[in-house]
Amino acid sequence: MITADEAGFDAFVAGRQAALSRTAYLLTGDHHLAQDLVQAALLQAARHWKRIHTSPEAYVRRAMYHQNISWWRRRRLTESPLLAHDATADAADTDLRLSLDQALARLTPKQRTVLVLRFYEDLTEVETARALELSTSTVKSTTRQALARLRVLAPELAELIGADA
Amino acid sequence: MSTDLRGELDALARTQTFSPDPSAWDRGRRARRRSRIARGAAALAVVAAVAGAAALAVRPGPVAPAGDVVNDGDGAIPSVIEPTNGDFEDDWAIGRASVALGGNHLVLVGAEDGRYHRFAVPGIAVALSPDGYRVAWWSGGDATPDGDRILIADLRTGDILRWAHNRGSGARVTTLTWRTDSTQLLWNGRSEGTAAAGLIDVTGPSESPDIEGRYGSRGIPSSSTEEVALPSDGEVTAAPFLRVPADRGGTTGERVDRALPTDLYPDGATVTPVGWVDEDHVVAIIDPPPSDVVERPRLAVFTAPDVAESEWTWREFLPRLPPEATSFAVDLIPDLDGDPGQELTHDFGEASASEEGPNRVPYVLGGLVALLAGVAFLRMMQKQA
Repeated sequence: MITADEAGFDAFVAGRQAALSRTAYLLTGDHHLAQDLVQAALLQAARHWKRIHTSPEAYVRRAMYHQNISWWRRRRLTESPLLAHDATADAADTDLRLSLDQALARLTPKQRTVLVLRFYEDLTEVETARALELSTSTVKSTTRQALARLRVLAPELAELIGADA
Repeated sequence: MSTDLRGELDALARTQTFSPDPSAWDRGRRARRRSRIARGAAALAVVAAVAGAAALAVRPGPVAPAGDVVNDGDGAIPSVIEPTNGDFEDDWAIGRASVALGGNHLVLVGAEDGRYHRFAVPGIAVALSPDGYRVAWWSGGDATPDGDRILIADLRTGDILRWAHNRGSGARVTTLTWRTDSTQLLWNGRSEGTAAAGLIDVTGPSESPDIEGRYGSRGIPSSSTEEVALPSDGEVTAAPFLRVPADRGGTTGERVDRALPTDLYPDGATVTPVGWVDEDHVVAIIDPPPSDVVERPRLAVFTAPDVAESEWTWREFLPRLPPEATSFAVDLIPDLDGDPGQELTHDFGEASASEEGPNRVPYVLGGLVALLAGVAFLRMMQKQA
């Protein structure tokens, strides 16, 4: 028998999973990681559904942000980058979207997460700082550094992200 | 800029398609149940650790709480007396004592905590007052640092009275015996080859010499002085007493015997009285001849011969006495209620036999470690949640 809680959870997943998955992909840059990230966040939401069922999306998104950074910290201990950190993207990749995808992949998870929250989720600096439990000044400086690195990594994105921060 | 960037990010994200996972709800609820069980177990562990550590930390330990046995918290005679070696103390203000042990040095057992206190004085003719607040001993003669003195320590103040007995001329003291009121101390001994005795009143202090031979007899008079419990000469089948007529002032008396229970001591026993619990009950060290079943002297309380034989009682209550344990604060024995199962001593646990007192440190540390582990586990569970 399906309980009211389960029905509510199912409705939330059906309605919001696609949007959550898109954010997860931008955060991770990897399809499978994004899927895992969403599932982990939904798992936590299911565990605490009674407490969060009135506004589950904020909870799930926050869980995704923190989980992604946590995963990255673990992966950092076991994986080495294959490319120089600030190497420019392949000049043959002329497609803007591909350039953006590759450039995002070369940002640190913190930089990437801040960019996603600021420019995809449309959060203010204060909201971003609160969501990531950072100071506002850290969000500002991280945003500035992330955009600067994107300009270096993919000069063709200059029009997209502006000439300066 | 942000609008363009957002559009491009959105377009990038939409290049991916995701399939929903229908098992998320079930997995989440199962995880919740597991987490609740684990947290409950951890909380129980923490509670147990806290309770255990707290119990060990605040345990009254050697302080005797055994109900009637401890005489309203004033202390008790320990149920086991097994002294071990340790450092000497020099502060006599240890509070009430329950047992005094003689020998090469004097050892006192704290009445309220069961701890052993060693003092670097000769344990000669040691006598602990019935109330446990004074202990007396003989210095050992002129050649000792104190000279030929009877020394009496007040265990409440730590003061020591150095009494020049026998009118200052001293005497070789063989026994010291407190009267039941704990204020008069009878000494017996020899001076210049003849028997000598005297009664010291520690409240004065003053001494009544044994001019009329009143104190020459060894033994412990009852509070009314109508009966005197005498030590036996070797193994006997009946404990010796003196019945003293009131008009004789306790000088001499009629010898009366109180038979020992033959089922307990078929070969008799040496009887050494140590005090009176009340007018009708004597406490004595009973030392049967060694056998397969008897290893050490024991303490017994029994009715005096003036009680009708039909009402006689006999009860051993402190077996396996070490030979050094010769003097007891008999006032610490609770009023007898006739129940053969009545507790007359108190189990102080490790403290009574431990030289350093109760060593709770390992237990408390263990409890704290368990507590920290529990807290860490709880925090981990909270993080996972």
